[in-house]
Amino acid sequence: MRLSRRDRLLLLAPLATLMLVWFAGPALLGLLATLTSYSPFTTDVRFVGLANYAAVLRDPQFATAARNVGLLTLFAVPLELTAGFAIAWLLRRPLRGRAAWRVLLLLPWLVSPIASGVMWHFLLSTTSGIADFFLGWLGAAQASSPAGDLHLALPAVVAIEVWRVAPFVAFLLLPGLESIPRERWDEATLAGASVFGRIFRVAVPGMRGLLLTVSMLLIGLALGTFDTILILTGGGPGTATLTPALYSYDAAFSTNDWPAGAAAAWVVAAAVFVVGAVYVRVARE
Amino acid sequence: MRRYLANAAVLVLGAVAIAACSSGGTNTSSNQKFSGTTVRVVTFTGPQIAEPLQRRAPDFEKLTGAKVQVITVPFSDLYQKILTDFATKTNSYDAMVFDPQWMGDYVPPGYLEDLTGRVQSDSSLQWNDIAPFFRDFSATFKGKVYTIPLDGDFQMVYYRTDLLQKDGLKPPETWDDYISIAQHYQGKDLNGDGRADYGSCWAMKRSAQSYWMWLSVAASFLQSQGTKQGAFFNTNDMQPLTNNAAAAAALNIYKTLSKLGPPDQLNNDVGDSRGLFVGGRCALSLDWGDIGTLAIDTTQSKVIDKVGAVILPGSKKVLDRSTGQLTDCNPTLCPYAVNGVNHAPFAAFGGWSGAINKASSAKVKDAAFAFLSYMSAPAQSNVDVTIGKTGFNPYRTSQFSNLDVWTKAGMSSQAANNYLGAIKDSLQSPNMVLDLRIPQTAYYQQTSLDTALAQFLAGELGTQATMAQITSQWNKKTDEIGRQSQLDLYKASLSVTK
Repeated sequence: MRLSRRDRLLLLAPLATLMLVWFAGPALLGLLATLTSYSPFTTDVRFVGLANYAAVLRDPQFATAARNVGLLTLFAVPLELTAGFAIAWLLRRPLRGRAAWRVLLLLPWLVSPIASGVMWHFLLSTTSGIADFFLGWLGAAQASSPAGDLHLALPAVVAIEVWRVAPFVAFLLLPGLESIPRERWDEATLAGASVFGRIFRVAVPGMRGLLLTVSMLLIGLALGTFDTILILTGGGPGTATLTPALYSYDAAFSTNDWPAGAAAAWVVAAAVFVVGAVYVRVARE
Repeated sequence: MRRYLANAAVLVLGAVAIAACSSGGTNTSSNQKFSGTTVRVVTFTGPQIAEPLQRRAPDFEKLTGAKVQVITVPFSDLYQKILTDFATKTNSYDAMVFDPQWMGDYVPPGYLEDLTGRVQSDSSLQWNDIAPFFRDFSATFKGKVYTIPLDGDFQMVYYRTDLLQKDGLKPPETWDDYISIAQHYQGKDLNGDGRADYGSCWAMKRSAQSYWMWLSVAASFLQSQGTKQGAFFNTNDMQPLTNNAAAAAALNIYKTLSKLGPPDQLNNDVGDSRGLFVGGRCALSLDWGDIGTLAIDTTQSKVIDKVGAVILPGSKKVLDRSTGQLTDCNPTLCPYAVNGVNHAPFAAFGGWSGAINKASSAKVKDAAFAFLSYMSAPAQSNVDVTIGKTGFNPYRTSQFSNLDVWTKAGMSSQAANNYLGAIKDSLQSPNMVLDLRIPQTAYYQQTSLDTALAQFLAGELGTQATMAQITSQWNKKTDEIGRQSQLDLYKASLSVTK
């Protein structure tokens, strides 16, 4: 049965309505708020133009947050893709309990980032952590939590994000890997291709579109990293793990400067839009 | 039909007779004076603070007929939820149990009911039993009472009595003593598990509660002339007291202590530092009253009857505000000094307190006041402050004069005497430091101060740069809001009338 344009619109209408009311509406109100001195506690609202954006962009804390999220994206996304691809590669062949493995591997993604932050805080903690407990049990010296170390906190966040996201990437890539025609694998095998040869000559070209989509999704997610850090380090030590999303949260909910918080959030959103635009352009090509 | 009518008449007469009997027996008509009234009380999710309110609400309903609905929201949302509710005139909360620091934002616009007359005329509340600091400063704004204290929040130093006794050491009187004891125990096995433990355990995590710890250190250097002097701003011109030799000294102590604790201390919140101390892994700690009750909790404490508490350590030098330098204490400069040491116990946060929405109806306000009074009355609060999970700490004179409630809760007489002695010393100090209570307090403390301290501890900023950053940000915010209005409100919060 072929759906008419009207049918398609009717099917989309409920979701579109919900998105409009609960997503687009508040987002646009937030955008308007960034141009004003709005606060829910005052009736004295003035138009301030782009002053809130200027203040956010001039703030050295925001610059640090942008640098941190840049580093996080630079390291986390390739690692998530590589690890996710490796898991998918291992799961593509028939395997005893494959369905169970797939569900188990999805667990880190299904755990909320807040819960994940709490869990890793206690796992890594020098004094109450499981790691420290086992080291003590073995009579080994104490392990300092990387989350409390100025130089290791951001790499720790990267590692936790990879742990959380890579299985989800595998879940997304596995169908793509399985959809590559068997003949291509056979041709590569007959040509004597190694594992890497098969990956780069068969798998990657066969999944280019999917890899691009997943990459863009991961970059978008990385740029908005917030929940895990909020719980794990609160942006510290110092500003070592501060991200623009956390900066936005702090401005809105700690300082109660809603326009600054919304402006910072829109700067993050703009970065995600740029990633989306690049995706659309590359996908067209 | 006639039979039905006869049966109905018998039932009605029976009901009337039962009602009459019960009315006469329990004097219900007077006890149930709030029957049909619902009081909506908002506080944070807890489980602390919300727990005693929820636990005692049914008892209060039985006594008065008033139904108490306890609405809980996450702590991070509580301030805004209440303020938005007031500002938009939604008025969905009749009473609120909150941080009294927020009075600086709630009182000036007229959102809170003036309770001055009510607290004086309510004998069951025993207002004068509440420690003078909480009565006259914490609950009071511009000379009027707006809140009923339910909790006494001030910080103290906790130490391991067994360790100090064994080594012939005295509890710390000054911050130098504190550092010296912490250095003595850092790296030693304090709980017999064969592993190195820590001299001092503090919460130093960013975006948490660590700025209060630094203020506890800075307090004794900054304030020596009594509560009305204030420890945050100069009461003449609203210049921050954050760029001077006192602030520098406090920063240096803070930095030193960051290295005399667990290696990931910079990522520890109060839950972590409390867990470490009651787990027997630290010789010293700094906390509100919570460690005292957690230390007797048999389910988690390894230091039962091994914990002592003392008033916050002090300093022999204090800030001379005219020069910005530290000067040796003398009777003029430090009138409340003990043995030449200026102590300034810090009422960090101020203690959870109950207030009433001015816009609620008269009957609901009466019921709300009755509920807050019931919660604060000695019969209830003297028990609640001994239970760790309530989050309530002592704030009444009777709570540190009556040992029974503490020994019943599991403290030995010696431990109770020690703990209550420290509380008494703090509560009776005329030099107690009131926490900041002006509009946008959250910015001054949670954002500006907290960030700068985190950067300082992490080595991103030096001492001078940290002080300059805090001072510049505080001045900018003050000028943005209005220096004179902030100064007036700061002085009002300190009950300074001139």
